[in-house]
Amino acid sequence: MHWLPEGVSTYSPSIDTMFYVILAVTGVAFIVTEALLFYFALRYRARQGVRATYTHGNSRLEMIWTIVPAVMLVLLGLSSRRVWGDIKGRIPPTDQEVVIVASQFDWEIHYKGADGQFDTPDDVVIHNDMSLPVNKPVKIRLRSKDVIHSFFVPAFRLKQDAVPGLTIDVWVEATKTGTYEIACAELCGFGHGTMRGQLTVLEPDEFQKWLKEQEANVVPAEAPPA
Amino acid sequence: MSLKHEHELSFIRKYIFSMDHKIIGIQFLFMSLLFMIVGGFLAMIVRWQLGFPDREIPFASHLPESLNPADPAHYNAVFTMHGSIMIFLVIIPILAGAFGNFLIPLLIGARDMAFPKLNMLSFWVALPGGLIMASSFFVEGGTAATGWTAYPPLSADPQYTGVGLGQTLWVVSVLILGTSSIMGAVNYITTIVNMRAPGMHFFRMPLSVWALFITAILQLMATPVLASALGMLLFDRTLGTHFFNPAGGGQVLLWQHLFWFYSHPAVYIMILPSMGFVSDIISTFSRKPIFGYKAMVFSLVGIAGLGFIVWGHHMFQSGMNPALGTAFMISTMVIAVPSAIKTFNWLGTLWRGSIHFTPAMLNALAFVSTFIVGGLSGIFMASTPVDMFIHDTYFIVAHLHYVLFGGSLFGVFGALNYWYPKMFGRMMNSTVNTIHWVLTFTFFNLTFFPMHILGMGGHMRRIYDPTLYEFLKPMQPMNEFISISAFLLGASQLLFAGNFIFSLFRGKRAESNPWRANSLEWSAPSPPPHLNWGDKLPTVYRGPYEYSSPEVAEDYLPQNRPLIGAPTPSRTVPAPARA
Amino acid sequence: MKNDSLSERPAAPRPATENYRLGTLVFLMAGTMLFAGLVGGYLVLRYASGAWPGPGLPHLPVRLAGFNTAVIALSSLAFHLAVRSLRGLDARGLRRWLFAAAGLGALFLLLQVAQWSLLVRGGLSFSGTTYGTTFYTLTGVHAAHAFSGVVWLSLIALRQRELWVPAKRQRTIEVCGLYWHFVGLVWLGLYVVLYVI
Ligand code: HEM
Ligand SMILES: [Cu+2]
Repeated sequence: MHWLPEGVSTYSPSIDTMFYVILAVTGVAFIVTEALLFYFALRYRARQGVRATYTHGNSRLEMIWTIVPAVMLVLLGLSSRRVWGDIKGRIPPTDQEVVIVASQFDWEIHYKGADGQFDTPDDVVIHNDMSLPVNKPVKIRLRSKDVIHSFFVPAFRLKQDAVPGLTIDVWVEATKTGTYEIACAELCGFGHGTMRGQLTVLEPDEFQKWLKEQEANVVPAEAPPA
Repeated sequence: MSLKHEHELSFIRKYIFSMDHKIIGIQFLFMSLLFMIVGGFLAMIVRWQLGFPDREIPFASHLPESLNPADPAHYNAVFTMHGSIMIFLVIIPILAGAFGNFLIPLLIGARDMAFPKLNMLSFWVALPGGLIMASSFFVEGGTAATGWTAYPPLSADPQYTGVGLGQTLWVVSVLILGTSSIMGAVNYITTIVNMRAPGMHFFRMPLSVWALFITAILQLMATPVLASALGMLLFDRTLGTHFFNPAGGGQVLLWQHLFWFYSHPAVYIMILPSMGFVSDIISTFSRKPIFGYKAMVFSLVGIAGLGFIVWGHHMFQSGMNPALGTAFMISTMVIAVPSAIKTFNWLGTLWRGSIHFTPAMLNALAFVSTFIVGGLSGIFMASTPVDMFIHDTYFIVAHLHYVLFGGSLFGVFGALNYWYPKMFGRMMNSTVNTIHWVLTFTFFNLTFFPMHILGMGGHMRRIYDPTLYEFLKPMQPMNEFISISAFLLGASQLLFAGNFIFSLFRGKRAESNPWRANSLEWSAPSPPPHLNWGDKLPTVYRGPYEYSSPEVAEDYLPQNRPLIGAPTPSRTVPAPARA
Repeated sequence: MKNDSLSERPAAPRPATENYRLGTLVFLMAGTMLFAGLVGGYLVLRYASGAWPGPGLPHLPVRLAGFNTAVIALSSLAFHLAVRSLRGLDARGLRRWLFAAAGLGALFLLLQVAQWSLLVRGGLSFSGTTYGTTFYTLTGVHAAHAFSGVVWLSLIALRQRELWVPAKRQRTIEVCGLYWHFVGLVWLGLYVVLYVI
């Protein structure tokens, strides 16, 4: 089934699976309940001389339709918890880090630069154009300068708000090279709809080459105050 | 208060500054319906922009500057006001204000509310609140543009939106409307606890009353928390404080916690009354007792109680601790259970009934079928990892419209069809309303179902031009389709509006019990006089759902009809099935 | 019996508590939630910030506030005695105790103002820090409630001239009393939250 767009992060398959599992469970519930609704409505429409059955309920049935959904839902919750813990509950060890500072209406993407440190004058800072190596976990540190933004890469299934005053770490490991889009998912002002960025996933050696080029281009004045 | 004063009241005291719960209910009704027109119109503008982002609205030159969505800042204002008006000025006041006021005393057999003056005040506070919100369109800088959720810092500092006074008026208006809600809630709770007619035990109350009762409790407990948050926001905006500004030591997420602590219960404020109405309507037109009355009551109570511990499900991606997210996920999963119970009991009520497809019934069935979709889509979003993808996409928009339009509003249409004769003493034309139902149900689904698919494609909400994104471009035809369906959905409402107004003057006169229903309001004349019943209040002998009872030849048995020679049904719930 | 269910006519249910009293209690629930929201906000801001109070900011006058807690508690007690007098049909005692309650309430407000001016002079501004903002907001919202309580109490006391108390006023007094005890209880909670923990 390919109802969701192609996912290109290591965790997108588990999110998609979770989605399809819920779709299957709710799909069955949907079909059964809607079918009963239509069937009952047609089957029991008023007819001459037929009186409705006088009943106030049935406690056995009440038990069944309380417990069955409860068990299903808790099971869905528990399996979601595993996936969730894997995505947002931990950060796999990695030396590849990116800092993203969001502001109205711009994604400012920071790489460490030649010295391997953030917040130094040789940091690489690029606006709205992000590159990542494929098959390598990347830690993304999110900040915001003004209002809440939300870093959203549909192809990764990754979404995380960038909140002023907080520093929030997420991670992703891309599984396929190509270009993808970054969007802002939290209303951030009149330019919210235009806060678009580009994301390129490169082979590791190409990524290193690209990064070196960027480092060579750094004009120290562009760096943020340490 | 006594009957004889009725004729001495001047027009103003009788219809404007009235203390009669029925008049106040009708005042709320008209206010909400008028705002519904405004809110619906704004929705059409939103859909035009999304369906046809390159084309100017045909009537753009006639719109006030602040409503022309071609300017992205105005687009934000338009959907913000659409949401705010629909929630704070349409659904909440129509359910709690209009139906709460009109129905509670009539259904429990009281002459009026416990505090008629407070009741009058609650309307005359709500109306200025609404007018303040409406006036914000016309102030310098335009109206609020931060969504109905008004997340700071965006909403806290004019420099981020360019909206100054407009957003402040929004805050003030919501505060005032909240005050009105609390006044109403105090009245409803006191009235229901204290003023039930003789024999009207709690477990003989119609589910509409139960639902309105629980709703009032939610309003009472949740609204003040919103007020505290709004107060902080107002201080941040006007007095330079930093509740939500991290630069001054504030916490951005504090607003979200307080806001959703109110607004999650508020979504139940917006649907529980409809659930009650639908239960009554389905039972009446299936000519069959409601299935599992007590289960219905306890699931209402359960939803309300659990409703206070699930607010974090709106904040899974907000930066809240992920472990807390897990806890909120589990509680959210659990809250879907009472919704499931209610659905099955509605189905159980239809089973082996004798179903009459009046417009009220059709709308109630539409409620059930769309609420199923909305409840099930909630489960996707309750799953934290799945929500990471669909949060703030059109999947959410689909969900909330399935529960609020499909749920609450079909409930309202059902209730209006059902109680119109009681309110105005005349019948609406049922053919017109059946056509209205067919069109509304069809176009509703054509409008909102595809939004799930947009959301699955990652389509963000609150963006004004989807074609700016490569990955959204292929979905633009669907956006156009949705917009056209939405226009047709909007146009279909003219039928109902026309029928509503026409029938006020020309409708067939209604008898006191046109649906052969059981609850007490049908024992009063249509429309009921001041103080509802003549000199004697009805006495209640049984629950409200004794349809097709073997004790009588007719297929209904009003709550207030004494049966000579038959045992009075047991105290609370009538005896179990005999058939 | 069985054949005459009419004789089993249910009697009108007697409300356990009358409308005005129930309504007031319900209303005060809403008031409680308002303060709960404000206190919730206070706790979040307080425990999210490192130093509370921040460097250079004055500590709250715990003793003064403690004394003031006693003042408002005494005022509640005076009100309680006023109701006792009312029950004992002692209209003069009622008036006296009402004035005492109002006077103590006014003293409470006066001391609150003194406390604020002490803190303002100590450098704690309203909008400078969340420490100041939350303190002034909580105490201010409470003082606004206390102020309306004092005005209400005084009005009732001033109007109480006769030697009897009309039924309607008895109810007003009771409602006012519920409100006034609520104001006192909220202060007790605020005292614990703001000064003690
Ligand atoms: C079966 C029960 C339900 C579940 C499990 C559920 C779950 C959720 C979740 C998890 C969200 C947040 C999604 C997100 O922002 O990522 C949400 C949003 C929403 N829900 Fe529900 N929901 C349920 C029923 C309802 C009902 C009955 C209503 C209203 C009558 C409702 C109204 C809303 C609204 C208005 C939003 C969107 C708020 C916004 O961000 O603007 N929901 N729901
Ligand atoms: Cu919610």
